Amino acid sequence: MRIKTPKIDYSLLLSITVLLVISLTFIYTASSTKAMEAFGDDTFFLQRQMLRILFGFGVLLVIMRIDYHKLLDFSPIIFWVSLTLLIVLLVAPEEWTVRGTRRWLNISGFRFQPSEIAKFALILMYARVLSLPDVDMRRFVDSVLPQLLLTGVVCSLIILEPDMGTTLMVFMICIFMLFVAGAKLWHLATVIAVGLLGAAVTLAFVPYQRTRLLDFWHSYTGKGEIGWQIKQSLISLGNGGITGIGLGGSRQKMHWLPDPFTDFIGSIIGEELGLLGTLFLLFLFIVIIFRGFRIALAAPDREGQLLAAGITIAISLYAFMNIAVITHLAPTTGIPIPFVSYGGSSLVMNLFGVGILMNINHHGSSKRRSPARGIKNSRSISKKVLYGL
Amino acid sequence: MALLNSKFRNDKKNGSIEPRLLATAFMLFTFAGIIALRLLYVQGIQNSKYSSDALNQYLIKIPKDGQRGLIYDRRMQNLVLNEACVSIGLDKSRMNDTPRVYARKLSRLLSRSETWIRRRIQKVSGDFVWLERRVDTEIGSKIATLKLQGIRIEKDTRRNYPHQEVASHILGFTDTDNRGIEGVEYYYNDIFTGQDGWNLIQRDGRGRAVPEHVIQANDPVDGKSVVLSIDLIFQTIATEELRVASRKFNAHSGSVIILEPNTGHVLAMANEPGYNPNFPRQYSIASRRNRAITDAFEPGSTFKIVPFAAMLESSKINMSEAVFCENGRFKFNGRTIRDSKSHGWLLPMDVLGVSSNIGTVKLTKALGSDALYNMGKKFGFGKRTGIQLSGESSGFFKDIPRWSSFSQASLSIGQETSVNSLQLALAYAAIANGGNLLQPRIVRGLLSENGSIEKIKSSREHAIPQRILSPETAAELKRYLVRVVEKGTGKAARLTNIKVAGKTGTAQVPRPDGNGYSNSEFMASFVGFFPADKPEYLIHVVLNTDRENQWGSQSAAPTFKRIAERIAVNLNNPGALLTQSASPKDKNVSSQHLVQIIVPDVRSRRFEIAEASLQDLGLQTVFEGEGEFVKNQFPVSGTKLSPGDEVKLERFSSKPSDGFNKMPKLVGLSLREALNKMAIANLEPMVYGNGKVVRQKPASGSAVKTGIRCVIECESPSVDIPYLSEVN
Repeated sequence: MRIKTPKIDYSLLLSITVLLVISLTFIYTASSTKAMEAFGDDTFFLQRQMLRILFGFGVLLVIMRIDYHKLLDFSPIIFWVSLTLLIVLLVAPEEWTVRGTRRWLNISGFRFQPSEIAKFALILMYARVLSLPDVDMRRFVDSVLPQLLLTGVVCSLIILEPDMGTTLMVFMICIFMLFVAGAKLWHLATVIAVGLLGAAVTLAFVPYQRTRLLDFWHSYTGKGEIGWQIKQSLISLGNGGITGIGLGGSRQKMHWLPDPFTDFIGSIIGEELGLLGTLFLLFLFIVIIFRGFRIALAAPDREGQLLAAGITIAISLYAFMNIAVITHLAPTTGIPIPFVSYGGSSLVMNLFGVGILMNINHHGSSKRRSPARGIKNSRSISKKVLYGL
Repeated sequence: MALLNSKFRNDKKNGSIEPRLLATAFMLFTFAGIIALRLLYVQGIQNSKYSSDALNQYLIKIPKDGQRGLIYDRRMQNLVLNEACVSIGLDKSRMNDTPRVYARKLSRLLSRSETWIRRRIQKVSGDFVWLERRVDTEIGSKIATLKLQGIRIEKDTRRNYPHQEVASHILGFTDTDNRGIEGVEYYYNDIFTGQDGWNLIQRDGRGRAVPEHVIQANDPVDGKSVVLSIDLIFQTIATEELRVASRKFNAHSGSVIILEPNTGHVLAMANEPGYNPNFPRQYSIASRRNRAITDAFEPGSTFKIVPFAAMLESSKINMSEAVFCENGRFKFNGRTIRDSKSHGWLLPMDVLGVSSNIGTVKLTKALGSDALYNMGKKFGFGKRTGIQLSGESSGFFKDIPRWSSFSQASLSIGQETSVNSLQLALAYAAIANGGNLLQPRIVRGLLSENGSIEKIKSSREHAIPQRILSPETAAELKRYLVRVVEKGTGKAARLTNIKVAGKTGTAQVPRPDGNGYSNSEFMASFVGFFPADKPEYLIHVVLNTDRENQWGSQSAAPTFKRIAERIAVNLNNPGALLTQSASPKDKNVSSQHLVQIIVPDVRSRRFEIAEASLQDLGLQTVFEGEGEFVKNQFPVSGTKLSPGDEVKLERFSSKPSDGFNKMPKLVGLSLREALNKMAIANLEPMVYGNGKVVRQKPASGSAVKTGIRCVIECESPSVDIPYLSEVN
């Protein structure tokens, strides 16, 4: 069922466009030195990211025209494909991997992160499975256990890459989706306990992860690779102050702050545009939450609701976790800011997610009155605010 | 419809999704709120802390030293250069390994022990530490290849003494911190030392300086340069001839002083053994001693001017009355005094002329101790001259109450006293200049910005020269000294065209244990000045020789002659030497000289030595003409050349040869200048008249055989031929 003229959520589109503009601006200022040194072309990274954005928008335009129910029907296949990719990643020959770790699959120059695909595959699976007619959320074996198995498989494969950060994020997204779907709180507590146990086991056996965590506690001493990164990130943000030191003026990108245009691009934004810049960034993601949840509330069915919520949670949780890391609120997890950090898989998959949101929005728009009616009767002001935005 | 049904079915069983959605939204907003608060805290409240942390890590203060002042000779030739080198520093905050590893990697290149380097890294507080100052640039580039993070290789300068051993004792040298250790470098260290500055440089995360981000620069102030009274040409001549003489006469040490008797300016001060100030540590302290001022020795006969000056000033002695010299052996107060040759009756002037000890002792006895003592004091013996160098010895001049019965006799012939070379030279200068004891000078002053020379104020200097002899006494004594050279012991010092006044000295060297004199060591000396009628140069030669060469007349006098001849030739050839005097070098010399060689002045040096020194610098040499000396060089000194470039040397010989020469243009010159030119061309002059040259034969430019007699006719014809009268 193709849609000729889909309804478009312009607020969502606008905030994502603004994020992409910020992204290109800061990828350029933060990467030009490195690009010049490494490739003799200061726009090297900029050009690549622009191509990815074009590709991502192509994906978005296609996906928003495909009925999300069709996607949900396909979700088991997508899930199996992503699971296969994760396994291939682990057993692939050395030349298919990037920089020693098995996070990226590099097949004849085309490089992507299977975990990003797996993340969205899981969200689709959750939306589909948790809205099956005979699922009873009150029963553990019905609701939580199958999901826990799916999540466990995916997380285990990702943690073997090793990618603790993404594992953690995928796990959190799953918990949130279970929560939204109405799982019993004590069921969730059990799942979280299992997750924590898994994390503890990982920490016990993987010294690299332990170091990361310890570096986090050692905080601002600048010791160790991670400690240094955090210290430099805080200096970037702190030195930026309220208004920043001016666009393009970052000194931290001069080899002080590692990864200044990928995971720590937020620090450079904070340095050059100050608190105003970082709060604006935060604001754009809050807009995305508002729009995403509004779309979820207006979705015609439970699948749509869960799917929209899952995608919104995935995007916003990544953004917040990233900022939590660069402000030294959370240990370094190595996850990007959606739409802003340099990198293709995350960008394309997030735009894929936005495409689904757009599609749900299109379907939901005809039924807009339905949830609105419920809200009208509600005493909750917050519901009105949420819906009204 | 089916979609709606499924939704309702789920709602029935699992309840509405909305409350959970809202709860999730609130959780996310709470998260966002916490992050916003955290951002507010980091960026708004802790802003200044992080800003200062940022500055601390961006900025690094790199010290930058002011360049040390230079030293010029009186013709503004560079005696020392500031050569480009590098200093190795370490920015400790950027180290990517332990000090131990750094020490191990750097140890060999820096020629320091690992422990030394490690301690240095650990001990010095602050981020920046110098590991080694002033090492070769090659060492710097080798260290750069080690890729040790935080290592900074900073451009620096160090002393380079281009003339090697020449004037080394005067100049001294500096240590690795560029502080003067000896000589003028030490004496005027404060003047040479500039004021250090620093650059506040922004660095990037790899410790590299970001060139466009020099935040603040405190420019260093360069030290002041000093102009010496030393003449590089004279100094070179003195150094070379002293070395030749030392070899020839088996002297293990010695010194030569050349000074201007009218001004007290020291033109040259050379010592043997010498040393190369570029590598001072390779020489013993004894080699680095400026013996001309640090060593006091028994002067012997050269001291006899003291009793004779006193006699001339005194009315007690009739200087036209002969004295009996006892035929070489004389018992005096229980000791035997000997002369080198036996003499009978001699006029006092001849007593000095043949240097009779017996005659001197007898005359002095008649004169009395007080007159002798007072004259010695007047000449300044026993007191430092106040030369602008450190380490001068005062010598030893006993007060009368401490004299023994034999002291008067000993003192009169230069024993029981000690002098340094410079003291004695100044005493003779007083005779040469008509009776004034001068304040010696080796430093003319500071070189000011506009190129003029400012005097350096010093408490040591007594401004007014002291008159110690009447002009008559001085003139008479000068005649005596001329006679020494013409007829007496100083014959070996005679110059062909120029009248010389001087005195030989032969002294025994007291044993180190204080018991009597050594049998194998002697001090042979000659001090003289010329031209006697209007003295311009005074040379004092002291050679510490063996028994065989003990006599001043044997070794020191010929050395004097060789030096005097070369000086005379050089001086009177202004066209070859003086016109090219270099202006003070600009301050950029040291940086430009990285890839360039500054041509040294090799004029007047021995050809082989000149050739070798140029080749040592990496230059090629070609020559023109023949002879043992270099007359001129092209290009001139101070020119910057690249390795392999050619320097042409014009040779000349001081000896008559069979070669042909061009007849110089003499018409219009003063007789004196004409004579000098002819001397250079090795032509024998036949002079008629006096004053300016009006005619010459052969004509200028024509080829003449060297040694040929040429006729010069001057303005005022006279039967008297000045040239001959001057000599005889």
